[in-house]
Amino acid sequence: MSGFRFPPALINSYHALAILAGLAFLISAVAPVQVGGLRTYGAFLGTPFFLGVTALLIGVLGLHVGGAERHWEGEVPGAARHRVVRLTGLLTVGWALLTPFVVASRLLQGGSWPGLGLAALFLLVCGWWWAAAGLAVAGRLESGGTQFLVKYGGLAFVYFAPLVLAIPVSPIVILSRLWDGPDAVGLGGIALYGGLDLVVVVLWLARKS
Amino acid sequence: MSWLVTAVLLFLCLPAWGQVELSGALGWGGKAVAGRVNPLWVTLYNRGTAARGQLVVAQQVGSGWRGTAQWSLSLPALLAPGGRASFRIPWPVERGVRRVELEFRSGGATLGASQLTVDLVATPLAGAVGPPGQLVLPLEELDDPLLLSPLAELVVNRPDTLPSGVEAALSTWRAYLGGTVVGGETGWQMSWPPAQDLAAAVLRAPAPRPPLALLVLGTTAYLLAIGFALPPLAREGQPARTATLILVSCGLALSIPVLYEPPQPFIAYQWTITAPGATRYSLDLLALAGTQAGQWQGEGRWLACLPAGDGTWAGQDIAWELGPSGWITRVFLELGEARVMWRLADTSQGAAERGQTYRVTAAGALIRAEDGATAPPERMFAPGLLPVWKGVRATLTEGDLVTVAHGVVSRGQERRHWFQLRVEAQ
Repeated sequence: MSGFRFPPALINSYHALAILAGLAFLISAVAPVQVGGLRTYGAFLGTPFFLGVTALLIGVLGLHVGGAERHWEGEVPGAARHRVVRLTGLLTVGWALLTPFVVASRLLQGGSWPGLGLAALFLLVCGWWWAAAGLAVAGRLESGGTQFLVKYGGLAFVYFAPLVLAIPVSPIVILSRLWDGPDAVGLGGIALYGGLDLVVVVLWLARKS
Repeated sequence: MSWLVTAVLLFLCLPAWGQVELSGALGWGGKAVAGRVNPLWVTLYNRGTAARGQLVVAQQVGSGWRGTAQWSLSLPALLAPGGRASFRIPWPVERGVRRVELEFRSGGATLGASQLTVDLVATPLAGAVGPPGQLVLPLEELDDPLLLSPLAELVVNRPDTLPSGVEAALSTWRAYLGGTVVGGETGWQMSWPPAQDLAAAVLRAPAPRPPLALLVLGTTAYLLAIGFALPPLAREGQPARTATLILVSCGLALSIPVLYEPPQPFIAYQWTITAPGATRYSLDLLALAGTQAGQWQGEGRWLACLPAGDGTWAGQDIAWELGPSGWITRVFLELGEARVMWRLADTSQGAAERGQTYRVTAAGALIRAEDGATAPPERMFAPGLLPVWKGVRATLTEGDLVTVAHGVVSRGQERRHWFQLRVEAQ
């Protein structure tokens, strides 16, 4: 890991990620005084709120990492293998910054460790997919405005349209299902995003070789 | 291909279908009283080889506009070839129940099924033990006080000949379920607290609250540390410092259970009332609430009370199962939602806790037997006891003794606040 430097532009992204995750964690830890208050409060502002924000943040960070990596590649060109390793490394930094909050949230709520492990794995594979998407968009579109529209419009669509349509492919839903105890939807989500990541890696490596 | 699999499965299952014949009757004289626990007699007749399985009884409660709930019960049964087995099950019936489904399942296959049409009546029945009477009840069936629940009054023609088990059942029915023995002695009768008061009591219980000040402090320190650690990582590419910071933070997060016990998913308030002259059974009332959504499982056969305020059966599903260690009740609880249940418990199963004894004065106040101190009950009793005390107080007269005990116990997925209230009439 020695010599692992990253674009300074990402420092703000990492800081923002940690601060927002920290705030979401603290908001989710606030509890009403009486059990009856949980009915109206806890269903939205408890753990589901923290998980929703975390799932969204890792997606946004992924887009930032992809965009930053694209600019970095312009300055320091490298092989596709290096790109995969760097994207993974950059995303792992953000993922690691989230980890204390995720662990603390699990311990405060009580629950199983397999659920925590799978949720952490999903955050990594989901973030990696968005990093690849961010890199691809930055490489193909010149206009910053168009990049913004495509990246964040796409992110919002994938995260929120499935919620409206009740299709369980939104990372928000997948993360919640893994957290509550892995079920078909949660495990399917890991398989979906992990599979997409794998396809991207294979395509990159095949193209460059 | 799928049609072939279906056909094969049908071919395999069809010979077993109908192997067990089920028949039954619900309610005294075939009448089921709404809102009461009625006797359900089920007979299984095995026409094939020996069969081990489960008798499953199920019904849908409620209506389209009040919402519906599914109540089901399962108990194990072993049937010899050509053998019969009979069961008598206390079965709660509510308005809107049209039919009761009976099924015998073995190894995932249904070996027989039947359906009982419910003849529902709204008014409790009048019965008699020994002729003459409107509805003559067999004496041997009266040992369970729950089965007397559909009756409003009962004529006992030869009280001196009653077996002790039936006598205990009658006194329990009279004390807790409001029954009247015509010509028999009158005694203390429980006035049930409204279910919504019991639900409100558990919903007022303190919610589990993590140490927020500590979390704010820890989060702030972590974010500040990250603020200083990341720029050197970007410049110098030495991840050791950042990795150490994150690992230490995770380690501190792992120490949370030392400072804060994760909340049990369920909070329960249980009130146990023992009436004078009916000490063989106690009336147990239970209000449950979930600090997380999930399935609660408890020992004993708990029956549902619907809080009048909510008025909907939606989500009030119950499953009872008879296992090796007795009855188990399972219900699903939404986050911050309360459910109220009750049962009659055999007092020989558990010891009563020692508690404070009070004597009721003419003015309705209480004198503590231990030291003669007097105060309104609202100040003497734990707040959680008051919803039940309101019902009991109306039935007390001067000189009656009331013994009260309470405590909290955490076990499994549940934190239970228990209250015992024993009344002794003078």
